[in-house]
Amino acid sequence: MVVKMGCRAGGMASWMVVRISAVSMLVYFFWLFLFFFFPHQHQEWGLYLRSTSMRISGGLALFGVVIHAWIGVWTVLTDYIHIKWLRTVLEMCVGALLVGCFIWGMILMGG
Amino acid sequence: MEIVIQRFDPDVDTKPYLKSYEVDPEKFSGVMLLDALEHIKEQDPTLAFRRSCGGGVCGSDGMSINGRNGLACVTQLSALPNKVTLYPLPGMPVIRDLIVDLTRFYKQYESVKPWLVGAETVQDTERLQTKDERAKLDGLYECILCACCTTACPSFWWNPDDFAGPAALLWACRFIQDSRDVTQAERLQALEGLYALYRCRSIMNCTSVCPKSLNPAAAISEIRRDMVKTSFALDPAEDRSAVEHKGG
Repeated sequence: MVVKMGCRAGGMASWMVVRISAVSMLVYFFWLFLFFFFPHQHQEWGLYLRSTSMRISGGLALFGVVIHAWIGVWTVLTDYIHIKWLRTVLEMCVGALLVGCFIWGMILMGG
Repeated sequence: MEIVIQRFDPDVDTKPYLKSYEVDPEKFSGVMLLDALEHIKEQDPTLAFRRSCGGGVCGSDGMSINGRNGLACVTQLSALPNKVTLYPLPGMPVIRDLIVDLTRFYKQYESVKPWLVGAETVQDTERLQTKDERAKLDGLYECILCACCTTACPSFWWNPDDFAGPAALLWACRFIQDSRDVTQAERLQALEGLYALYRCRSIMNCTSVCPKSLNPAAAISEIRRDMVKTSFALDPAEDRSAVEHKGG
């Protein structure tokens, strides 16, 4: 049995990250859907979403959304935008937007 | 029936144009689109297209038939509507009329080293395979390199120099799966980057248009699975050498 490094850099790494983040989002949103499906009071929602386990899983799911979106948008940009400086500018804009969303989401969940 | 063909002669034309031909299938023998093209060529010898075997084996007469890549020699006229529009294979430089320059396609094919690399030890006997090992090559070795799949792939249109394309990857899979090949690790390593293999977005045009009903998309998934296996768990190449050792 040969155990090599966890994940090869490059294509396979991003391919696996996309799939793992997709599964993490699916599980999280399915769990949320199940919770919201049954009627709860606002106070119960608040308590539930402020629990440590939900904060951690919410943070992980949000990270999954951000990394998933980044790889997807990066792929589309490299496919369609072949002018290097324009692509770099767009990548920076998308990167800043996603990092901003992540920080904002973490602040909301932490509040 | 009306057959509209994109015409372009770089010595005469500044840009491609469409030319329409009226064809009566009763006036020539044969029931395939290639027969109709031969009939048109008798009337208009300036029309250029590739052909060789005429039986879906050589893969020479790939073209876009009503927007879908296929071989003219295995496309029945009865299966086509009354108006047929023919373009050269998309995404490739046009040499003339329906003939495209496939240099890029063959370079990608060459990049996956489409030949068997056996163990260096000279054997007095054939390198035998079990029935199961041989069965793994079914659906892979039958590719005739007609380029219908690769030129139907948007990922190849966008990254023709970096993405190997479905045909080359089908061939890569054919040798990765071959139990007699000893370079599986190197073959997988060569495809590790961001583009050569992983630019496939599973659009599935390749599988949809393959005139031999092969499944390049499944072959690409197979390579990815092998790559994951060699990264995380059992190394299939090591398994293979163990089997060879046992057998030898």
